[in-house]
Amino acid sequence: MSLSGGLALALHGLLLAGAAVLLPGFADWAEARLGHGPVPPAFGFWHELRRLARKETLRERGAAGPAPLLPAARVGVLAVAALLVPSFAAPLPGAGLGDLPTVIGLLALARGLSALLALESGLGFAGVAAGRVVLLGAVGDGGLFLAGFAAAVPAGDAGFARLAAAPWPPAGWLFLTAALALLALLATGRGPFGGGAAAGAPAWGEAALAEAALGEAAGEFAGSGRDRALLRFGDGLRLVIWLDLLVCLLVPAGMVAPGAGAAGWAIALAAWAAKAALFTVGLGFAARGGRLSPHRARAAAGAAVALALLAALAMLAARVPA
Amino acid sequence: MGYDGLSAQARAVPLAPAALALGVSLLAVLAALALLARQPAAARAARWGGVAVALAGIGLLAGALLGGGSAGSLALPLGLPGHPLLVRLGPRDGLSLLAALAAGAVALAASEEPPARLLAALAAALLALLAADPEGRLLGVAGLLLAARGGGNAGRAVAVLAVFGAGAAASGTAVGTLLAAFGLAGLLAVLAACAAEAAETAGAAGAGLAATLGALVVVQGLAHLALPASAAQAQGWFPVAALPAGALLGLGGAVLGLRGERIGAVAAGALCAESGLGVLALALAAIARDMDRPATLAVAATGAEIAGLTASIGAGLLFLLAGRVRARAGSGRLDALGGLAGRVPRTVALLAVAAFALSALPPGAGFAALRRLLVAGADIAAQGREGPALAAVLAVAAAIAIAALSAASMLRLWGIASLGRPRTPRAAGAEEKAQGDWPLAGLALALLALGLVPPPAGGPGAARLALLLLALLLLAGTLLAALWRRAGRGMREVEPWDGGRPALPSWLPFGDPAGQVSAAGFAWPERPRWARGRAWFGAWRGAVRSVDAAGLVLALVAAGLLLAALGARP
Repeated sequence: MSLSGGLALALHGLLLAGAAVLLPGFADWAEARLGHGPVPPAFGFWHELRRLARKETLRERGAAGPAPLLPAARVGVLAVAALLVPSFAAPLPGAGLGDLPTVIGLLALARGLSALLALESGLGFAGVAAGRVVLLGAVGDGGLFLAGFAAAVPAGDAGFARLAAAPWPPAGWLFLTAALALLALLATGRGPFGGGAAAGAPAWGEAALAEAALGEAAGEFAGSGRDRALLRFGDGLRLVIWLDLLVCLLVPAGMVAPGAGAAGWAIALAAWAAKAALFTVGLGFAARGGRLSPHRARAAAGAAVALALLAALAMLAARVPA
Repeated sequence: MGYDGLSAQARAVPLAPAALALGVSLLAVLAALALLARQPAAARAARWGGVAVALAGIGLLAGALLGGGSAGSLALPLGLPGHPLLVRLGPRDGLSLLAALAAGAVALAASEEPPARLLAALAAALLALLAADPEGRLLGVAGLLLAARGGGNAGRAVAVLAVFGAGAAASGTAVGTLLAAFGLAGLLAVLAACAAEAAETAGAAGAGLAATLGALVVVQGLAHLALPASAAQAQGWFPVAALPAGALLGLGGAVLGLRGERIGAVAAGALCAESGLGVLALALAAIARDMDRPATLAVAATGAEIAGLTASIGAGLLFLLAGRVRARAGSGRLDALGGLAGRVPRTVALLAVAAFALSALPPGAGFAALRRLLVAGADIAAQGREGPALAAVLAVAAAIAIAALSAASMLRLWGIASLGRPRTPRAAGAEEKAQGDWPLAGLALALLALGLVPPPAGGPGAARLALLLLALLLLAGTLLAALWRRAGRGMREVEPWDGGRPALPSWLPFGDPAGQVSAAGFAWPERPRWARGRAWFGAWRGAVRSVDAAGLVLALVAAGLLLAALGARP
């Protein structure tokens, strides 16, 4: 590992940690500002994490098995996935450890851990929600794998460095963008699929289809204190992973090689910050139309798969000589 | 251009197959002894004799794999007049045989069932794996179907034999390839259906082992069809058969796994799903061979091998664990379980390993197979040739759907059985016994190792040892987060929260069984509109029944074809 590579990796890690504790709060703030209802403080998420970290952790009497480890395991999985997706520089040291399919698999693994936490709570509501989230997630993963396939074929490899360096715009870019945007909203439980604090609605109930709501509910029932802080931090990490995935697959412009020098790094960092701001505003706009019912969420997942398949076919049509 | 398989990547297999043929005969004799003997001592002797034969075979094969040497073949003094049975040990067969012997030995040692069916299934599978000609393979397949016999599936079994027999009769031609491919896929579907049907009966372990070994037979048989030793024997039609066969097998298995209400039924579904991935990978390997892409061929073929081994070892472990859960908690029905993690932790840990390997999530064995399939599909699509590219996209789409549904079904299996509260008083009284742990732990270790097989050097794909390092990173991340959690302000035990429901009456001491999600509720919360009418399901059932009725006719036709082909052969 070269010195610049190591420094870039360290900076990438710091950026991730910072964004994971700040971005969800900014997104809540943007959603409220662009929509209706009371506006929460922009740093609300960070303050909530600090408050939870200072609280006592509650443990259910007689709880056994792997349940106490699940929030930590979820954060571990999401942190590794987040480290694998480049933010401002690529390729980072250790990029060979995982490519796009690996990250998609890790996201699915983290979702599975949330669902297990909900099942461990032993509550019917949580169990049904876990089933819905897992099935909806399976459909969404199908769309995400297909979209990744459509992006990886022109790039020649599913490694993130090659994906970011692929010719832009790829064939079927519009289909790819629409599919990934829908999947990002579904997986992070934001916009029309959300029901968080910003919407002033209970995070639990009809919005249980969104994965974020499941994490929230699982934390509410099965955890407190640092357990819950870990769950919330995991939600933040997932949001950052999706930001970096969208940046890498759709708008990689501005990303540099780790050896690009201080000026190159500054420009790349500024570009990443601008993309993050755009992402936050986009989430706010997506929430303007109000929330969708669970049935619509299922239809949206199906639509995302269809769009991803169209992107794959458009890619194919562009590659086959006339 | 050829591909010699994982085992040959280590060393070529040297062993003359005589010793293995002798082992098959010994196992068949032991099966007959176990079937006819009335004394328990004779059954016990047959069981442990079978374990000894399997272990000797494992030792022989392991020595051969490590020692290097050449393959060989042998004509047995059996078979039709003028047509002796040929057995051979090719460079690609070592791992399949090793896995079959290991699964058989573990099933014999760990199961509490009478050993006759287990021994018969093992002997039949070894014969099917060793047979060099289609007739021998047909005999092995018939033995497997007999060992797995399930009352409702007899007609379907005969139909599969008929298709397979017709394929054997026309072997070497395109039609023969198509029939053999569909026959093999159908064989696994029927074996899995038998295992699912027998899930709660006395013959569960026998049917489970037959299905487990069937996956190895199917993937190895299709690999021989997809990648024959000489390019002249290659059939360009193979992907046309393997793509729909693999997709149907995999998707059907994934849905069966997601809807199965017993551990055995879920295991049967997972077996088909993972084998479907293997068949799809073989289709891509055949396409890569036709396009002259040796690196892609190696990646796809390795993926198929890993999928086949994962299917057999993982689902085999699940079948054995189904019996164990039934013995410990009184039932293998998911709706009768729950909360086993705190009561039978070793069984639950083994269940977790098997479920994780079959769920195609990183860094498990199923993911290693899926990832290779994706890499091979992307490479084929990138070449820009219309037909192969479209086939690659379809294969990838089917594989993705299979993998995603498998992950959901495995999560459902493990989560509902192990977490939450017990759903019956019997499950609340489940107790662990230190009996038969080691053989099962051996299978679990093999599964874990399978996920970490490095990609071939120089081929497309990520760095070698990547998945091992990834697994270590995941552990490190989890450990750090867990340490931070422990360093907090402290932990306080509280009464479990019940969602605010009123207090339960005294006659429900284990909680309200209806208060938790059911297995069916988890898998399919609301039936979609297209599945609400009965006509669709009725038509499906009618089609399956007509297969039963047509099975006998098909069998007669195929037997005639086979005899005609044998007579016409010089």
